[in-house]
Amino acid sequence: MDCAITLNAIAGYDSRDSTSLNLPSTDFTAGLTGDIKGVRIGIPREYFVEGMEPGVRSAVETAIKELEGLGASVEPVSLPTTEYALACYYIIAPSECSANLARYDGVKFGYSYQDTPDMWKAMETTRQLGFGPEVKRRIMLGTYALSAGYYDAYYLKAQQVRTLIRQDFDRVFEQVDALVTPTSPVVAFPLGEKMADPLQMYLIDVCTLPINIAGLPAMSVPCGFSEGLPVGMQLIGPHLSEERLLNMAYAYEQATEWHKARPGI
Amino acid sequence: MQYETVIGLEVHVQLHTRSKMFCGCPADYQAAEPNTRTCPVCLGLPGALPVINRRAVEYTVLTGLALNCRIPEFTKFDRKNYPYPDLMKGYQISQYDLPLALDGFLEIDGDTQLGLGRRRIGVERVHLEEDVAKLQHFPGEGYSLVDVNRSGVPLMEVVSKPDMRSAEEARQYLTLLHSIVQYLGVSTGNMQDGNFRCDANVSIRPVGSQILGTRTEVKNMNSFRAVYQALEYEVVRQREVIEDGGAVVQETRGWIEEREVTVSQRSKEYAHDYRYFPEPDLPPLRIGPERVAELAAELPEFAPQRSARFQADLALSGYDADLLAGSRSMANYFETTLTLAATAKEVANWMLGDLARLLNQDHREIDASPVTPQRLADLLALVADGTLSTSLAKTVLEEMYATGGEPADIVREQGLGQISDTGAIEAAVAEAIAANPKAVADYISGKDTAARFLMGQVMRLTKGQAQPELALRLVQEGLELQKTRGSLEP
Repeated sequence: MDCAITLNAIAGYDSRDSTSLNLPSTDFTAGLTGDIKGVRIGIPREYFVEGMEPGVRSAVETAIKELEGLGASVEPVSLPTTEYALACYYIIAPSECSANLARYDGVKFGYSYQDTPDMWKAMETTRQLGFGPEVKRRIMLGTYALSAGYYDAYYLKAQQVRTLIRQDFDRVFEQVDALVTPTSPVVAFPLGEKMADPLQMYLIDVCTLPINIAGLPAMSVPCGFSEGLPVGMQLIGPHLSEERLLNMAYAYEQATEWHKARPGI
Repeated sequence: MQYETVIGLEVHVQLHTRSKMFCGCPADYQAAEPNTRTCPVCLGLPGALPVINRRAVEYTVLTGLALNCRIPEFTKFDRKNYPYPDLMKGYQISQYDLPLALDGFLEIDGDTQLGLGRRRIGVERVHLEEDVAKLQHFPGEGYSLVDVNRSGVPLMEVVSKPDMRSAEEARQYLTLLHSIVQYLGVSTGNMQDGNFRCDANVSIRPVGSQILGTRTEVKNMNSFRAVYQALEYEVVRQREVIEDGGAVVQETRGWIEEREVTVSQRSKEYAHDYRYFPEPDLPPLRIGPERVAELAAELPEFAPQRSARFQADLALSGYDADLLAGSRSMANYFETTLTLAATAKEVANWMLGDLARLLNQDHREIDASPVTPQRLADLLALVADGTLSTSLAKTVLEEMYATGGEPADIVREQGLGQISDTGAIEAAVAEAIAANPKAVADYISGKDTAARFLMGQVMRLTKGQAQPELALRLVQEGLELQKTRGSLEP
């Protein structure tokens, strides 16, 4: 319900955003009946990865059973391009951000290193001191992926794979109305634990990145605990299916108590 | 060894839209105080997003059509990435591989001195991008200033094929391109103001060779004359380098107006890797054939065609026709005046003569003329019906220009109507004869020219308003009378 209310407030056409859809407005609270009888749910097997924590797996599987109990039908599906989504994202996003972050040069706003008469030195030092390591990492990745000689192999290829990922979803949504997956294969890790291994950190996103790539609506719904930490199940729908997703989450919430629970930490 | 010159031109044309390319800021930055035509978008502030200016796209398509280009159905914008303080976002939104127009041409007369006649100069592409901010440098002071007003103004880039073979051909191409964008009204095309900028790529090669020689890029030419001179200079320079046994270095050279030379600015082999990629904040555009047809229908008759028509239909000289067709506003003014019942030759004479003189004195364009086509036509009507002599009409024109008044009003207020009343002139004739006995005596003794002298006196006495032919006739009659009288006197 809260999500629906929030979405009502923030959804809508923005004439200053060229990527904003111009559609008549919807009341996202109006469809919250709690009735999901007949909704066809797909369970993509590629999202139940090998490295998945057992506690996460069981919580999500139990939740799926719950949805079945509420009248939804459940079937296995396959999205073979899922394994490429991570690489795809980690080429496209850093590439775009390497350009987006170019404006932070200390010339017109923000942190500005001034202790040198040389303009280029000032700009370089501003960015050297102003950006943190993860940001720098992504800027370097992105610059590399876009450079002459590498653009075709990386950025262009990633965008082409992106189309394939979208097509996979389009195909699956001809069979089912929504997909259910874990939001993350593991529960939250302690702060600072994965800093030395960024790749490990990137792997956590394996369930949510394909959604970004494909531009699909998705939401995470609390569905249990593992070792005292919360587990989320992810609902994914085709474009503009927010109402149905919200209703699925609403139905689940009406039947369970997880959304009211607090982690035992 | 005979060398052939190879020239290609890149012209950046600032589009005359009301707002900037990707935001709603006013695009007229010339007269504004620094940094008063800005917003988060053209300042490149975090989070600001671009929105395409439709008119700028239309202007670019129109220009492409006028240049006989193909308008592809699918086009997009790309980011051109490089750091510089005048580039607010650290990238310029431009077009890389799918521009708005491709594969066009312009027909020039050709450099007859080289034995080259009328032919096509290829236009590689026309694309759209945003302009950058303006930097003001203070050498030695340790700072430079940034004026962001110009940042984001729409810029249309026209890239020719390297088909020009001399500075003269480059001049012809530029002149024609300039005339076209002016005629379309997409730009004021003023080189001095910076709305029509030209960079040239120049190389030479042995005559008959199919391989292009090493080229240099020449920049900083701020007038048509500068382009001509710079190209002439650069060709000679390159030839001398080669004849001295050296090789032309691929580089950017700036034209130094005061010294009339080009000077190396930076080595072009350091070509920046711009890391072009499609602009993710803007959807691609689909310009369907229906829309292209609509825009094609908006194309006006351009200068060469209009001039040809003036010559054929109105019997104007080539020289006059070219001048009148030279700008869209001139040509429109001319044709409007003609519809108000004036004759072509008359209008042409007045427009290219006295009116042009007055406008030039003020550095005014004909659009800003206080003498409207209607008023000019009215003035010419007064000459045609005998109310005004030509010389009087010139005086009235000056007054019309100064005050913006109607010719009929001015004539009435200043009593300037030509006097054709015989009685009134006779009085002046009598006065002139009485005051100039020597002239009378000259006439009687056979000097007919004395009549003209006396006619001049009559004109002076009537403040130029006497109808000249009538004045002369009456003077002659008066003198004949004197003759007869004289012969009757004892």
